[in-house]
Order: sequence, then C-alpha cells, then structure tokens
Amino acid sequence: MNNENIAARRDEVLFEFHRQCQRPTAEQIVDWTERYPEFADEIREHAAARLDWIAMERLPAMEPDEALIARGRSRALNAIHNAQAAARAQSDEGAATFQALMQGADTSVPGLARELDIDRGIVADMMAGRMLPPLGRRFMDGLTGALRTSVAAIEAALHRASQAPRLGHAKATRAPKIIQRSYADIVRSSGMSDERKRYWLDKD
Amino acid sequence: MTEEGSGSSLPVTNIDRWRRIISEGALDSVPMEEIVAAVQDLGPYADPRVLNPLMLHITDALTALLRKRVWRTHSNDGNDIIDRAHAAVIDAVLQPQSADGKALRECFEARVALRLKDAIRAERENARRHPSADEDGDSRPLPTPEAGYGSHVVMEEHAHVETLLAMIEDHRKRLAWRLHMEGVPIESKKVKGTIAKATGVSGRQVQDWLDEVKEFLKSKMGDRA
Repeated sequence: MNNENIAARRDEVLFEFHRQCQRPTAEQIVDWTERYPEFADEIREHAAARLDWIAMERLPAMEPDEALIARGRSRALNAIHNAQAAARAQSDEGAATFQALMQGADTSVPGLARELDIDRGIVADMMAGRMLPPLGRRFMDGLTGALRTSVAAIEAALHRASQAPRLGHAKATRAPKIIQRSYADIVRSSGMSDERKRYWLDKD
Repeated sequence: MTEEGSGSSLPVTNIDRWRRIISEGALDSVPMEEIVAAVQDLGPYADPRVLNPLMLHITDALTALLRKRVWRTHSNDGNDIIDRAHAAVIDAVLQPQSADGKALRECFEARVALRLKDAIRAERENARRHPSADEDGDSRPLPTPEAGYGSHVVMEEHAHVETLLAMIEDHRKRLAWRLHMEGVPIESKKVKGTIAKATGVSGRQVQDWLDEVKEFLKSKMGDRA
C-alpha cells in the first residue's frame, strides 16, 4: 500500500471507530487495537479524545465568539463559490449549459416557455446563444425560479451559449448567418401581444 | 434516511421541501447528514435562497461543535485548531465525490471528530516547529477554570480538573486515567477489557502513569488551595 492508500485506510478505520464506539469501553479499545494493530496507537488516541469529550459534555458548553462564527460563514460561502468554479472547470467549456440547467429542473424549452407564459421562440433564442444580455428583470426572476438556480448561473450559461451560438433554420436562398440580438429586440419582434411584450420588457 | 422532524417523505433533492423547512426555521430538527446530502445532491448551482441557508446552518453547527470540544487553553484560544478543522470539513461538504464528502453524509459527527483530531495534531506540530511563548509546554501558564468556562461556581472544581487533564499531552496517560476513573481494572486474568491491554503497556507501567497523573493533579489543585 502506498502512503495515500494507508491514509485512506486509516481514515476509514478511525471513522468507523468513532461511529461504533461513541463511548469507547476498555473492551472495545482492546478489540479494535487487536483488529487493526497497524493503527493501534491512533485508535487509542481517538478513544482518549472521545472520553475527554464526554467529560467535557458535563461542563457548560463553550460558545463560539462572533468572529469565529463569521469566519466560518465566510468560508462556507467561499466553498459554494469554489464548488461553482470547479463545476464550471469540469464542464468542457465552462459554465453549466442551459441544457444542463433544464435537465436539472426536469424541464424543456416548451415546458419552460409554458411555465413562464412567454413565447417559445424567445426561450429557443436564448438556448441557442442568439440572445445578448442583459435579460429583463422579470425574465431573469422567472428563469431562476423555474430552473431553480442563481442569477450567476443563468448569466454564465447565457455567456457560454453566446460564445458558441447555433444556427436557426437556414433559408434556402441565402448562406446561413447567426444573428445575435438583445433580449429587448427579441421580445419586441416576437409574436406576443403588445401587453405581453410590455410585461416582459418590465414596462407595465 | 430519517425524516424525523421534517415531516415529509419527499426526496432529499425536493427543493420545495427545503424552502418550507427554511421558512419555518426548522433546520435544527433535521439530521445533519440529511442537510449535507441535500447540499451535495442539489449542487452548487441550486437556488441560493435554499443553498446558502443550508450551508450557513452547517457552518454554524460545525463551529459550535468544534468550540465545544477544543479547549481555550490551546494557543489563540484554540481558534486556530477550530479554523483548520472547519476549513477541511466545510470544503468537503461541497465535494460529494471525496472520501470526506461521502462520509459526512453518513455520519457527520464521526467525520468531524476525525478532522478535529488531525487539526489538533497539525497545530501541535506547527507549534513545535515554530515555538511561541504560549504553546511551549513548560512555560505555558497554569490555566484557571475561568480560562475555559467563566466563573461557574458549581462546575469550577470539575472544570479545573478537566483543564488540568487537558494539559497532559500523552494520550495514553489520559486514556489510562479516564478508564481508571470508570473503575476499569489495571490488569486481570478474567476480563478482556483492562487498562493495560487497552493502552498496550504493562500493568506496572499503567500504575506508574496513574501515580504520575494523581501527583500532577494533587500538586496543581494544591496550588489553588
């Protein structure tokens, strides 16, 4: 076993020891040290710690101070940020795609359009990278709710889609060309009623 | 998976269920393993109105657990140890593929215990490499009960003994003492669970350790008289 394997094995054994021996007895300690002689001393060390903690339980609990709590919270929010960055790096081209977000929310272009009550073509343009930011406030709110994700994730997916836009249906008479338009332009030229357009342009 | 207190049989990834639990302020009633599983399965791109409260709940509970177990008699009140252990655990919460990430959703407390011991060891080694006045064994001032607990009259004596025991670095001596206090025999031909076998030394050695600890406690308690 190499060092990494030994460390992983040690973690496994000690983790199980903590799970099974929350208040280790002498007999349990003897059992475990005989079963895992290679980790005997660490088992004893962890047994001593558990008994120390049990003794401490009888004392009034020490409360963490505000600074300690705040540092922990900041680390937790950083961990989210780092996990998002790692997820982005893991996907080929960066951010989670709209396809992935939709799959995560168990929906589709027609499903999403229905849920938001918006023209399907607008959702399709966004998916295909033909829509330029910024998105309307209502549209962004609707998307984060329906796709159960954050504004940052939508923006990242939009950016990613716009980097590699897909063609619309080609016309036979002309070479296909990708046209990227602003969200507002796309809404204005959609087939929705004027009232719905005003709504999606946040103008009512 | 337990559903105690959450009053629902919905899967852990049901985000509406978490919205409800958060809005009811009922996260305390949900086992930590379940919250970790939710964070991992919802993923880092989940609605931050759900993900952030879940993560903040985990960090606060983790900080409280670590604070409960780390003496303020360590350097910097034990905060360096807590920060180190906290960082290891909180990062793993969002790494579902890691060994720590998997273990935290099986038994949160046991995995935290493991990482806490690692942090204590790392800080001790750190202190040995860079000895500073306050972590140098012999020059360390004798802690008072107030160092850990404030002036709680009833607990004072007990807290003082515990603070003194925490100063004994050799875990085998502490283990021998703890078992001795629970009435475990030093040696025996009849029972398997003896202090000698549990600590892996001779009965004679155990007796020497117990005498040493007793003498240490007596001398320090005498200081206070």
